[in-house]
Amino acid sequence: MNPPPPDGLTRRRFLQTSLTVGGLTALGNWPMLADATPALTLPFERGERPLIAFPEKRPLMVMTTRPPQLETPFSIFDESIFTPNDAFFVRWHLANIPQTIDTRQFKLTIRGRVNETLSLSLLDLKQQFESVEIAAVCQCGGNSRGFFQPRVPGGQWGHGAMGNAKWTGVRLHDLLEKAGIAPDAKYVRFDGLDRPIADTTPDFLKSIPLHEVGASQILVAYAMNGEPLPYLNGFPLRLIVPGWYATYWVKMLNDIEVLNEEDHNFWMDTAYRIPANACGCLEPGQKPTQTLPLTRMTVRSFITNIEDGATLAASPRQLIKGIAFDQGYGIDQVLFSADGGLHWEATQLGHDHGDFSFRPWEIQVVLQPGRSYRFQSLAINRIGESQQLHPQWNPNGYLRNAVETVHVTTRG
Amino acid sequence: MTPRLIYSFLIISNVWLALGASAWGNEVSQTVRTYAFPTDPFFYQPGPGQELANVYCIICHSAEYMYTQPPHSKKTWIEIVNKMKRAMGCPIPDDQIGSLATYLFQQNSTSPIPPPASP
Repeated sequence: MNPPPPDGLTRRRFLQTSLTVGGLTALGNWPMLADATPALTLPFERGERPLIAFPEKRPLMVMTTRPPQLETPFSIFDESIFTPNDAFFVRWHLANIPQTIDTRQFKLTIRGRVNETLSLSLLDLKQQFESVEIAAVCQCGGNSRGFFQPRVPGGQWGHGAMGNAKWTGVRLHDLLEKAGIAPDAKYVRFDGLDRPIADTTPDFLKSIPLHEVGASQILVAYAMNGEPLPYLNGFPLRLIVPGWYATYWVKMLNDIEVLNEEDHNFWMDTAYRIPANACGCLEPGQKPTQTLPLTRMTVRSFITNIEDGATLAASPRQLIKGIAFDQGYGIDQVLFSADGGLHWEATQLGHDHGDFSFRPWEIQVVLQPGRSYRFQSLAINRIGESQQLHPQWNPNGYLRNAVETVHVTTRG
Repeated sequence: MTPRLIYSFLIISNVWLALGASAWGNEVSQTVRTYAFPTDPFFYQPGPGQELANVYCIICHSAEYMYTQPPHSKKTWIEIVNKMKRAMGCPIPDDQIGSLATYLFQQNSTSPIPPPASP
C-alpha cells in the first residue's frame, strides 16, 4: 500500500517516486557486489566512489546518481590543460531535468527591465551576435569540501569538481544591449530548464549585479572545446562567468530576467554564502553572523603528475608538473617545495591560454634514495594573492585554497 | 527482473544512447536530443526509519547523498533534516523529523556505502 502523497508533489511525480520504491521493496536490498564495479577512493572518510559512465561521459566518480553529481578523476588533469568534455565534472541541484531538448523549439528569453523582450533561437544567437571564445576554469564552490577539517555537510568532493575548457558563445553584454536595459535595472537573473521535483523546492536561479556585466567577459556559450555542450554540462546553452564559481554558470540556460532590485531568492540569499570577512573563514565550529554571496575564486595550484603516497625511484631530474589558476588576474608564479614548505623554489610556467585558464607549470628536482618528501606547490597571482599555507575553515566548505601536500618516498 | 539484469539493461541502453549521441555530432539534420538518466543504484538500507527516508529523502535525490556524508553528529542530522524541510521544501511532517534524523544518523555512522549493482 502506498502512503498518501506528500504535500507539494504532483500526483504524477509522486506515482513515479512511489513506484520506484515499490519496485525496490519487491526486489529486496541491492546485492553487495563490491568486487565488480571499478571505484576510486578519495582520501577522507566515506570517500569511496564508483566509476560509472553516464551517456556521453567516460567513467567518472559518482557522488550522487540523481541529480547527477560526477567528479573528474584527478589523473585527468595531468593529461591535458583542457579537460575533455567526456571527463568534465557534473553538478546539478534539482533532479527534474528535461530528458529531451528540441533544438528547433528551444528559445532563450531576455525579459524584465528591458526595452524589448527578446526570444532567440539557437540560430538567432549564432547569426545575430558576434561569436567569442574564452578559456576558463569552471570550479564548483564546494570543490575539495571533503578535505575540510572538521568535516562539514554538503557534497563531499575531492579536488575534481573543476575543469578547464574553451567556451564559445555570445557576450551577455551584447544580448542585453540588443534588448535595451531600463534605467532602473540593477541585477540580471538566470534560469535554466531544470526544475525541482517538489513544487515546494525553490527553483535554481542565480543573479549577478548589472555593474559586474559591463566590463566582464560573461558569455552565453553553446560550445565547449569546439563541440556542442554535453547534455550534463548544460546543453544547449550555458552561462560562462569567468573567474566566478560554477554556481553562477547556469546550465540549460533559457531565461534571462533583468531586475530593478536585488534578488532575494533562496539560492542567492541563503545558499552559497560565505562569512562576510576578509578571508571568508571562521574558527572551526563557529557560525557566521554576517554573510556575503560566494562569487570569485581563490588562487589554487595542484601537482598533477604524482599521486599522494607515491613511491619513486631516486633521480637526478625528476619532473614535477601541475596546474594553477585564480579568479582572472592570471598566475604570476608558482613555487615548489619538496620539504613541506621549509624551502621554496621557482617553477617554470607553461603556455598562457588566458587569464582565466589553468596555467601549466613544471620543475625538475633531485630525488635522493631512501627519503621521504612532502611536495607542495604555492601559486601567486598578478596582484600578489597567494594560496594559504594552512587550510581555512567555513561551515559550508567553500573557498578552499590551501597548499596541498603530496607525500612521496624514494626507494633506497 | 533481477537487479543484475536491470543493470545489464541500463548499461546496454546507455551504450546505444551514447552511440546515438555521437552520431548526432555528425548529423546536422537531427535536432532532438534525448538523454537517459541512470536510475538510483541503491536505496536506503534496513533500519528503524528506513521507510521515512525511502519516502521523503528519495523524492529529490538518490540515497548516495547520505551515505557519502562524513559521520555527522545527531545534532547535525537534525539540522540537515530541518533544512531539507524548511529551505528545500521536503514534505515531511514535523513529528517525524526526529525519527528520520535518528535513522540517518545511525546509517551514516555505522553502515558502509552500499556498492552499486554491477553490470
